[in-house]
Amino acid sequence: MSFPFFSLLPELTLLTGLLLLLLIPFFIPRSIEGVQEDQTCGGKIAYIITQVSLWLAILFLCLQDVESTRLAMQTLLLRSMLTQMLQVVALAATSVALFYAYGYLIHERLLKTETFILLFCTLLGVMTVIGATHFIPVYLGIELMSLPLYAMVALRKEHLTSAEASLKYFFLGALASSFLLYGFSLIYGATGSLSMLEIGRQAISGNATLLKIGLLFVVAGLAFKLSIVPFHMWAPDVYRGAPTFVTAFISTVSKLAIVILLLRLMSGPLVSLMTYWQSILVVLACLSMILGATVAILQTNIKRMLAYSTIGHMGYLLLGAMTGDLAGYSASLFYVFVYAITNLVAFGVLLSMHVDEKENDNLDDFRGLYYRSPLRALLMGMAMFSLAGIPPFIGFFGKFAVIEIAFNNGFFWTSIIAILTSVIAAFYYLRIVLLMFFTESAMSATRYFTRAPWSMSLLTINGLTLIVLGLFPSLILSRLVYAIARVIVI
Amino acid sequence: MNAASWMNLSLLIWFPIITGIATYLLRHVANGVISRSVANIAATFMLFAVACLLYSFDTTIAAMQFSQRIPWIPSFGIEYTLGVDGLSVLFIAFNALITFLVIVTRKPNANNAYIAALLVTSGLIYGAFTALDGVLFYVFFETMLIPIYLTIGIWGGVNRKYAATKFFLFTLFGSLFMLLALFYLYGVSGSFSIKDWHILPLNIDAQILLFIGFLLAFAVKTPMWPLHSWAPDAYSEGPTGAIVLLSSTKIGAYAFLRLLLPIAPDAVNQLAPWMIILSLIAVIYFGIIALTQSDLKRLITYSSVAHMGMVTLGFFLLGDVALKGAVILMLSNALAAAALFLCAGALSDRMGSCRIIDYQGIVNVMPWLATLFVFFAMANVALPGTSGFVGELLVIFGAVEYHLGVGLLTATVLVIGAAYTLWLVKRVVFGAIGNSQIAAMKDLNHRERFGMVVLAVVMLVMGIYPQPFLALIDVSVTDLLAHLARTKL
Repeated sequence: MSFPFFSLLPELTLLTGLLLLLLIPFFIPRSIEGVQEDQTCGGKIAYIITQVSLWLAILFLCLQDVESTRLAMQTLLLRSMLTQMLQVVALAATSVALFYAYGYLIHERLLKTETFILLFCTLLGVMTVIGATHFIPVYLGIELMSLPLYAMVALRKEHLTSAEASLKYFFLGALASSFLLYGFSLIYGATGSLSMLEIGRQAISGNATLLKIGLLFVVAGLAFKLSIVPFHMWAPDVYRGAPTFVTAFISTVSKLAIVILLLRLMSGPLVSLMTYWQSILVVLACLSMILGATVAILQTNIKRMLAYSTIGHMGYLLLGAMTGDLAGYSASLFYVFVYAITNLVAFGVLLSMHVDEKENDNLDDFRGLYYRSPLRALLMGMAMFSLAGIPPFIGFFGKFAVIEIAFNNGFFWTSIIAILTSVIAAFYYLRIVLLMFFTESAMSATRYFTRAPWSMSLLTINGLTLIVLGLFPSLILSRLVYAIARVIVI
Repeated sequence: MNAASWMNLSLLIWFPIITGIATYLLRHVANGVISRSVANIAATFMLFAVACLLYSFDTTIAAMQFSQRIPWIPSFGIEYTLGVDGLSVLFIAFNALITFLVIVTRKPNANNAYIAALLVTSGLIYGAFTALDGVLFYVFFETMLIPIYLTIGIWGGVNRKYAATKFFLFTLFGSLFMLLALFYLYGVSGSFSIKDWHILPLNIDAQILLFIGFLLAFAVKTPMWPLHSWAPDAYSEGPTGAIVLLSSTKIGAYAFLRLLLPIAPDAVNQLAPWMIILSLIAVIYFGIIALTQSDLKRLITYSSVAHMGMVTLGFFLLGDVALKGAVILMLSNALAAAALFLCAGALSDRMGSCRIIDYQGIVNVMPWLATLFVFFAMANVALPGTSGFVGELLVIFGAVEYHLGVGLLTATVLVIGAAYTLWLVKRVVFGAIGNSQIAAMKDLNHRERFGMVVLAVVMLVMGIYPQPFLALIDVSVTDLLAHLARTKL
């Protein structure tokens, strides 16, 4: 059996990039006479290496033949049109976030090699989780993804809030990982297998109680990673404490990987427990939607507000997943795409407002933004309307897809809750719009923004995609439906 | 179908939206001259396009004309379907007229971004009136919130933030229930086509649930009692142009005719008495509230929603006469409310206040405004010879036919309406000059006069010779009534 070189080319590209990054400190000294040389020269080289390897990996991903689903590495990894889409989106989102973050990284003195080394480790984890069909690579992938993230949250060493957030994230994350591992072991006990392809066949004859308890632990572990109520406690603090660039990454790319894992577990190995799944997910979805909508109103920091918004959105996402059919899964995946694209715009604006180590992340910093920087205010407004689910922005069709699926699968009251919470949520999204457009700027408000014309033009394009996709949602939706219909294992 | 093939409804929707965006983007170029001309040309062109539409509209068939149908989101069976029939054609015409008047007669120093928002709103209104796909309708219905929200919030009065947010959240709340109703219909029929839903058999429980879902959305938008409380705030705080456009767009009432009545006819028959009670409450309660108002724009708002109560009353009396009357009344109220808001806007521009107590005796200084104001007030109380008369008379006939008590209660609108309108006229227009500010006020300028005179002429024509207007809606209303009489169980 030969090494599946071409199947693994994207991951290998990232790994090569990682190794190159590790070499940089040998050639460029860390600091000369107290000046942080690394920040300027080595950091820039690392940034370029990162972007190049990201786009090479995307190129290799796109060149792969995915017309048929294939298994690689002794059936440990899956290669299908769906995994390809998700991996491309994850890498592209990272790259775009990096473009937005360039000015931010310089201002925060984070343009260092270790930032990118950690990022690459996380990305390798994300890539693994998206493709994994076996509990061992799943767990390895999740850990590979999470551990560097804990460190990335604390990249700003002098920030106390960052350190606190990182510690909190680490402890709770370790607990969640142990839940996950324990759940896997119980499922192994019930079915005698760790391969998702195998478990499905064994699950019917296996010990049902053991399987159910195992499922409960797995769901708890994944719910933590997705910041679903009641496992959401870490999210607001981590979102607030982490450097904005890392927050953007946590709230978009890491969610993509966990969502596909959740769907793969539901649809493949543990599909026989569907009614059990549903009863858990309905409760989690309702709690998340309600808490995400109500607590966000009280926030005065936009990153905390976006954390609660994420919690709410993860609740909506479960609406599609819990129906347990292909249409539901594609609605959920569509939702997570929509959510990621929209959040990128919001975080992009936030990153571009960062000046001289001042975060500008309080709601008051948005006062009268339209009169200081119309473009930023318009983009942020689009993102807010899209998150609130107002047409013609793509967020509307995201909500449309999941609520339609839930409603027509008999979850009547859940749909009513979804609708009422989206009205409540609209209130706090509108508050941002209100502050930006309807109020005068405070005297102390910043009038200077990160100067990066190319990142602003990219952000504008990203903002316009919210409308373009909102007018033509089929551009993603039909591809997704097509991709899902073609795979045997999601 | 003998409709002229060159008439394209998509043009109607997207031309104002695109020119609106262009107006916004060009707002600073060459001092905004280009932007202003783009807006003027767009508004004029739309008036011309809609005139062509009216000219080639066939009044003898009830079917949809100028239809367009393109697949839009195949995975949900959503199509981009447009069409016009007798129920929508006059709304489209009025939208073109009001948009034209608002844009052409705007203040010279009006912000170009504001004009752009009005153009975009106008395009979305065309969309809502022509959409024949549930989701497409919903998208236009809901997207409209954004430009109106922004215009009220940015260019509105002191309480604009509160008013704008309230407007947005109320409407969103209602329309999301409509979305659930659309989902249900999609689940049953597998399509989002409104025309398919019209002939879809449904049991009575489903119809009642659909009725409630649609009612919540349209009752907020119309607005009906008790979901009206956003309206006085939005109308009194919003900038004149936006509220003239908003108040003349009877999209909520139109949606009753397009969606609720034909889709759930049995539920309509069953629940009609309740709706009649709600409408009567609106007519009488809003009338009395209007009497107590101290704010000019709030008074006009309550007067308008009281008339809308009569319109919904006309819908649910389910008779030929009442329904036609309701449609005419709706159209005439669109004109009357727009005209009165224009007058109020002209006054508050000069005085900087909308309190009735600040005005007295403007007839002495502003003869043009006083004349037109009195004329519009008379139209508002349905003086014979104005458009309101035909509508109110027909609805009252229908109400008497339905039940004498209902007829009597409906007829009180004539008394209450006359009371608050005439009292308003007395306080604002007549009497001695109230204060020095009034003495210094200048009469209407050319553009204001032009806008109001055009509206007055249309109202007179509709009142004296309503036949062409009735002919436009006649076939479609008859068709709708025949449809309502058939059960869908």
